[in-house]
Amino acid sequence: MDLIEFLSYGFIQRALIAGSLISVLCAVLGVVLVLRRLSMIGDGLSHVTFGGVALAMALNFYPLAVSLPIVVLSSFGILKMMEKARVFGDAAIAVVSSIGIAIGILLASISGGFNVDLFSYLFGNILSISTLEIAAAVVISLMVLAAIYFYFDEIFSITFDEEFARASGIPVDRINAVMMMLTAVTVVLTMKVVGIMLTSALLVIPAVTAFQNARGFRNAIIIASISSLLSLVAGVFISFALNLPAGATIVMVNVFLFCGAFLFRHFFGSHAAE
Amino acid sequence: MPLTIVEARDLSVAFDGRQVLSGVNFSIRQGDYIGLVGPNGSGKSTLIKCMLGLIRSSHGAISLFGSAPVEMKNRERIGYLPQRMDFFNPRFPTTVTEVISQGLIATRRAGKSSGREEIEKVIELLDLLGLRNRLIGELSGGQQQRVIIARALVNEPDFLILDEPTSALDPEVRESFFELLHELNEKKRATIVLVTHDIGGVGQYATKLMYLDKKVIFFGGFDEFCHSENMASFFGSASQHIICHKH
Repeated sequence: MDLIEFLSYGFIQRALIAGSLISVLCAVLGVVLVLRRLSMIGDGLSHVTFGGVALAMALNFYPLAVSLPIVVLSSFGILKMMEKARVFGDAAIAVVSSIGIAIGILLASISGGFNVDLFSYLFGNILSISTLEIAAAVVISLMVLAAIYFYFDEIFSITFDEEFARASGIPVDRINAVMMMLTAVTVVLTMKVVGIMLTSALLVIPAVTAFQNARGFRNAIIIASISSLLSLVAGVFISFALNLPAGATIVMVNVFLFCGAFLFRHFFGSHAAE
Repeated sequence: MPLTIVEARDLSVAFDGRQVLSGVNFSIRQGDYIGLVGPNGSGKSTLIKCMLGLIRSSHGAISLFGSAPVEMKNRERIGYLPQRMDFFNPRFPTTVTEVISQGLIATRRAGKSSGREEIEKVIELLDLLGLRNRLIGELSGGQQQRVIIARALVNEPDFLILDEPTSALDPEVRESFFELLHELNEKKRATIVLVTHDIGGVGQYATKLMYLDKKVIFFGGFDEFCHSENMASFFGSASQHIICHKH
């Protein structure tokens, strides 16, 4: 099969359009989250997504519509626990994550066990993305990327030195709340691409790949975005050509690029001589 | 009468029932260059965070340029250098220029400048030309401190709050930094609050002394301090001499 024929399939086109936008979104947010030591937030919120999907299936509702508000509320819950309850970020994520997964298991059990649909959300299937989902992915991704573009300086300042950002008059609490909401929305969108189980990989791996050789914050965001986009496109191609699960293939391409970036830094980077 | 920059009236701060500041009263006027000293845990950093609106008071009031600090709009008038140098992750992928440009965020938010010229100026002033594209984590402690000082000065603030700014600087850079502060204070009438542990050297550069130990023990000029019998009996005349001998 040649490239033209491959690209002529509607489901491949949908997968590439939605997946590309979501992968760039994950990379940009991932850089900020990893630097703020909130790497596991994707994992935690994806477990909440599992609870949301199980609830939607038990009630026979559309999973995205039920998961989205639940995950957004949970992200605020994590933020409030960190601010008010003297709980470290990783512990707050673990608490919310456990609640999500426990509710999911209970609901799945009550409504007749783990069926095929629930498994498809656990492991994702980008090739089965619907027109409605692609529209949601395009609109939400563009909104999130625009928000990050316009508030880039503020986000950078909060990420590097929150106290200085506050002293400079940046509305840190408001921006933190918006960033949490954007992360929640991104996690829900990502479940269709790589599945609930692998969502955090798309947030974390492109960021840590970028950090191997990045020469600045803006530079890190650009490298992470390119690495994530490349992994998505290559992952979709490889998975289709070799009949492999798309989500896991995308993640493994990401891991491959991370190893490449690590080796490059080790042999040719500024730390090579250390 | 010079403009009042900060005014505290009966200011108290408590954390979990522990009193950190109690009944603090003072006025800082335009052009003041204040050395803020006191023992560990005396509330120096808490006080400057109150000035900036980073911590709320539990009692009393404080104003910054006539407004409550949290409501103060013209943040580009303030330069702030936090106490600890290790607040950032040394692996944070950011360049010297990116860090300095953060000092212009308030100016940019007010739509006043893109800041390229100001960054060039401060890079030259603090001798950072060769380091501008280096990652912050690749620099020595002293170089990092120069970058953070540059971030505090880049917007040419009217009011500078510096919390232990010279702890990692070598003596030569330290001298030129104090010369720079002196120049800002003398020529541009910048108001400066300098938190320091260097109680013996504070009289060399500051024009006023604030001694804090949960409350203001002394606030005034060095001449007044050095000739005060009250202060001699409070500190002991030997300590008073140490503070005064370089003034």
